[in-house]
Amino acid sequence: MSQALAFSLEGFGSPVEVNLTKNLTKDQLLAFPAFEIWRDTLRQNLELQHSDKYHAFHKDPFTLRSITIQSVDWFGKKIGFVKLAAVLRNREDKQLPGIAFLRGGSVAMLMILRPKDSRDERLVVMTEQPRVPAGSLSFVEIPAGMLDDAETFSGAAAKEIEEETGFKLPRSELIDLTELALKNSKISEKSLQNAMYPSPGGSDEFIPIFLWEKELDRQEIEDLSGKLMGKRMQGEMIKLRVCDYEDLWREGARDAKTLAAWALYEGLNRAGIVQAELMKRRKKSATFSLNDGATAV
Amino acid sequence: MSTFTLPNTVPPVEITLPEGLSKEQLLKFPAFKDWLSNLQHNLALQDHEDHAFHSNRYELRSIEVNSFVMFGDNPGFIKIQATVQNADDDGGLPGTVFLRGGSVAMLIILQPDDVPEGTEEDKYVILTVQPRIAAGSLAFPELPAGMLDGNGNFKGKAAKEIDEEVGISIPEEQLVDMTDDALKSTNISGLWRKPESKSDPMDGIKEQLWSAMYPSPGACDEFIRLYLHQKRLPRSSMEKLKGKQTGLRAEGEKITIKLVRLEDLWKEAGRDAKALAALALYEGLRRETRLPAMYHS
Repeated sequence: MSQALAFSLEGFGSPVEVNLTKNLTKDQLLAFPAFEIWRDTLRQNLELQHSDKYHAFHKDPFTLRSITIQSVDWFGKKIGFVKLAAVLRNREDKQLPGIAFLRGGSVAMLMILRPKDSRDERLVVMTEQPRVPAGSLSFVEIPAGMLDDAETFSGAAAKEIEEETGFKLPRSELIDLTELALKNSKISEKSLQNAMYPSPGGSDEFIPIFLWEKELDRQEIEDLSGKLMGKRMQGEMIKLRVCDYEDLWREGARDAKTLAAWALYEGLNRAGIVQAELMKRRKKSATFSLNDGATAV
Repeated sequence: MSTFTLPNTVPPVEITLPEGLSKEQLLKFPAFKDWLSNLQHNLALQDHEDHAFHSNRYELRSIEVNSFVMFGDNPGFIKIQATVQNADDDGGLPGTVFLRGGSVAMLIILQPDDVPEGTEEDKYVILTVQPRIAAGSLAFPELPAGMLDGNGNFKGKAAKEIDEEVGISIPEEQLVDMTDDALKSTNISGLWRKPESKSDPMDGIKEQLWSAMYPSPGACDEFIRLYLHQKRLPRSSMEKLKGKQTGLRAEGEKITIKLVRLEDLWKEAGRDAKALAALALYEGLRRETRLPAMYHS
């Protein structure tokens, strides 16, 4: 035997047995950011059972007994997905469904363009691309990027969306909608990500949603539309489109990210929270000029 | 491991199976059938002269089944790698697909009948709260939802899930299919801001996709049909339901029911893609006064 196929995981009270697969070592698993986030989140929420006397499971709390890694997908040198089965039992020997696909998070962007000559008009940048899992060659979504190495938005995800859309997206111009919406909620589990979870029953995937608003001369937007069409003509896979904000909930009705972004933006707008943040940002930026390099390619 | 050729495919599509999964089991698996049907239909659309990919078509070349999970005698979940390429694309489109089929989710809105009809006053939404180990959570608030079992009766399944999870009996006919209604009013020509002289080649070429929200179209075939039911009932009944919320659990399950104000849903269920998506569709349809009158208890 060249390496151990099991090890003991610390930090959960009693030791948790972790069973590995042939293509995954202990060090590789512990270095996988999605596993680290999942483990820490679960540990904190298990502790809440004890500290919160109103917790549904306070009288007979669940403990994590074991984790079995069932399969690992490698993307070159990086782990792409890990499928695992976690066993959680209480004293009555009841067990919780514990299958999880760990793949980490992505980031989505609600990008709103406002023509300077109009008070109310808003246009939203959308991507359209093949999505084989949906069986589609032209699936419409708001721009998104993978979160790499448990980083925050500024990094590979920002770069990916910048490449997709041609816009420069400085962190100072972005508003984290999910953070704003969730940080004041009454939900008790604070260790969960301030993000939208597409499929919490089967996957750890979480998606923070950001807002980026930009005023442009109408001519610039018209020029943009022309360029967006041009991108498609060159045979690139991702087509960019511009959608009227008023139609967004309809045209993006199949995309969870689009609908979620719309719901959060509307809710935060109604509460005056977006406006307050935008004012803060405008005061901060010294000169907000069109020619400052934040134009589309 | 075994291989076979998918019947009626041009070019012929070769399928590789792992041990333990037969050709018949795969071809009968509803999620696989539906996914393949949509993909093949949408690939065939490339025959249209006006299709963006007409001159450089994508083709399904092969499918490798990586792993599967059985639910009893039948596959419940299958992971595949599909190779979809055009003439000059070496790698092909991202083709990892988790096949699990669809679900239904319900936005159930209750309003006390002492409030004027036609207002949004005092509206409450029913949420389930349960452990979601994949998200590392023991108490994840979500809209009530259930997985489809492949028999195609969506509304029936939705009604059944509400009955089981929430203990309320709602006739199928009283459920509104929100995604369907949203997509029906899609105004393609109004959507895209395009230069006058060019027409959008995609006009009139409509893909075959589910009338549903796709949580994770980049990796998973999952689609969620979103249903709405609105009911007015005596305030005393609502108070009783609220009183039940702490501690009511369906037999043997760990589901707690919670009522939150509709106007707070974006915060209190802000992590749940289903809740945010349903909220967006509800608001959109409501603003266009396209919702039926509420039902009376």
